[in-house]
Amino acid sequence: MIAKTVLSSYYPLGTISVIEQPFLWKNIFIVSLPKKNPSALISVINLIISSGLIIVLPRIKKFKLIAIYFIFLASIQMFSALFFTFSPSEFPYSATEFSEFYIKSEISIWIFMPLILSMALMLLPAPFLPKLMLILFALLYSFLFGTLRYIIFLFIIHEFSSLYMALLFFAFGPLIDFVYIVGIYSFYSSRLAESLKSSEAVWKWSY
Amino acid sequence: MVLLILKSYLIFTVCVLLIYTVRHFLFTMNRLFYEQRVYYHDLIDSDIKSITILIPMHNEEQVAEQILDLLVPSSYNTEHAEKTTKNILDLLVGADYPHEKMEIIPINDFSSDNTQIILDEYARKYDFIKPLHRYEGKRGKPAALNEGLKHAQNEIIIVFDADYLPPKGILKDIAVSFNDPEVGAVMGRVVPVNTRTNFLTRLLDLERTGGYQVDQQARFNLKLIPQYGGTVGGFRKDVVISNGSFDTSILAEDTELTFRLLLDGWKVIYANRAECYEEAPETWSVRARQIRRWSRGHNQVLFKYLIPLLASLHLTKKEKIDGVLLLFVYTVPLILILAILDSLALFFLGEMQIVAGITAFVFIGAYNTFGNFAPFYQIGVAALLDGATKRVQLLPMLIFNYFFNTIYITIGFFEAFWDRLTGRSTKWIKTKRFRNKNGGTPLHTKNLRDSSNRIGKN
Repeated sequence: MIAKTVLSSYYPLGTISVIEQPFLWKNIFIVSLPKKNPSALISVINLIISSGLIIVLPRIKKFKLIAIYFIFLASIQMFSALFFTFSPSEFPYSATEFSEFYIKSEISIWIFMPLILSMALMLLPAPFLPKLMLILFALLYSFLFGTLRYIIFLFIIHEFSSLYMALLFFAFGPLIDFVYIVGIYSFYSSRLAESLKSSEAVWKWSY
Repeated sequence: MVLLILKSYLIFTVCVLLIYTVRHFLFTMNRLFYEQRVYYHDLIDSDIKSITILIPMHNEEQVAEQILDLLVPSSYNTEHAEKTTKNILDLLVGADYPHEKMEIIPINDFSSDNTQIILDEYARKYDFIKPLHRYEGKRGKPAALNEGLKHAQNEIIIVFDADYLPPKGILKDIAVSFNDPEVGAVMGRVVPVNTRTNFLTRLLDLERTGGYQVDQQARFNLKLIPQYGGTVGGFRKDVVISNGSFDTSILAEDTELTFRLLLDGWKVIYANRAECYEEAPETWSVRARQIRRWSRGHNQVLFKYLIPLLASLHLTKKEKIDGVLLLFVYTVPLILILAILDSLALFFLGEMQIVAGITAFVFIGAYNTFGNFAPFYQIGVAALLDGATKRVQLLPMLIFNYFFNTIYITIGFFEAFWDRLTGRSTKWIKTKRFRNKNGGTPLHTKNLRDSSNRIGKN
């Protein structure tokens, strides 16, 4: 609903709507929007740029780490550009289907994130309540981040075409969720290490 | 049919990653909540064993002086210590080991810089330093060690890489384990000395922390397979020589030795307290070469020892399971790359439903299992045990390391595969050193001080 409200303010009345679909044990709400395929020219330009990046980036000596990450992004985009250059009509998804898959994968994240965090936090020598608060905070962050990302994804797909669908899903989808999950965990364990520094009993097996 | 294969592969990948996730979760649990297996350091032995220290060196003038200063007993090197105090500052000035029980063989392996001159100078001053200059035969660490073994006069061999900075008591800590007649090799803990240099060294420090503080110790606790790492460790000379010495065609002579000893019924053990400081790679290109070489060597060992491991009569079931998982560690990135390509193919074939459902698992597994050789919770706990309060905050940044490692480890896998297929010979490329020639920088010294203050250290 939030996504629809935000996106509706950018597009003419009736372009964006919300549909209801069953998923797991109840219905979910999905933003529906029209499909937009890229022009042949845009696909070819994307193909040239992404291929060029794949060739040039490995030769960069500095910032190798970032270069490799961009090679990963460029490879996905090259696949996508190749597909849209040679058989755009075969592309199997509408924007609405992408929207549906996004919501479903996000729900999977919301189900599994507390599980992963619980297992990781269970190992740390700390009381139950702060751990629970941390999981709730991570969930809240994920709701907000997931919603914001949903709006941005739909905006990009509607504005710039389905050509970027694969890149958005594979590079900025669930993978990014685990970055902040680990970030929240690392921040907490850092604080915990600070507070436990003087507690010798905790460290009896560390040697 | 194609769809079925693609979907099956995705499920296979998830299963592999889950197995590794569970393995590392158990290791972490063991390290934190279970009784730790006691090493031999409480053993007081009046009969101190005679040891030979082998230090392979190829163009090591930048670091040669420092490691020798640190290994020479303080009573011997007072003069030299004074000379170099401004360089090594508060670093340890000599090993706590009787000099009459010690022989140091620095192996000059085809050096074209001043390594030979430096070593000869030391040999003139100290009679127990016996440099070995090699300019014939095959170059590389395994070949150099084989040559060193021929000259070694003692049964217990301890190996250090030339860039390592051994602390005072480490020789005793390593040598004492050989009082157990079943021990074939022992491995100490490696701690980067240049952690604060840059982003890469900080990430590598996290990697080492997870690998040693939790992984190796847990495997030692659980009587699985702690790995001999080729440096900061020791082994029995006769056992290695009787088995044909080091295989010079394998780049990971350490992993090879681990499996060879285990298959012969020897124990490989881990000494967490035997900490030694190393210089971690400071540039990504050097790191790329290092990890690629490790992967190539490790996968060579996989191809050579997988079947003998499974067929071994000396190993228990749990040792075999751990051994298989250990052997496949450097194959997981290839499995992941194929899974990403598989997911992309499924995506464009209209199967996003399964990709959307399972990709989450794939990446959970990927990140958990191969964030950087250890899942995030393992590194988090290891850093906690080390009393690290700040560096653990870099954990999310390991995502970059994950992509980097994945690429170069996969290249290493294919190189090993090609080695196996064609029988081509390998060429040893030394890891570049970064320390300045005049000794440790103030940064190094500062790090050593910090590491000695870690929580949990006696």
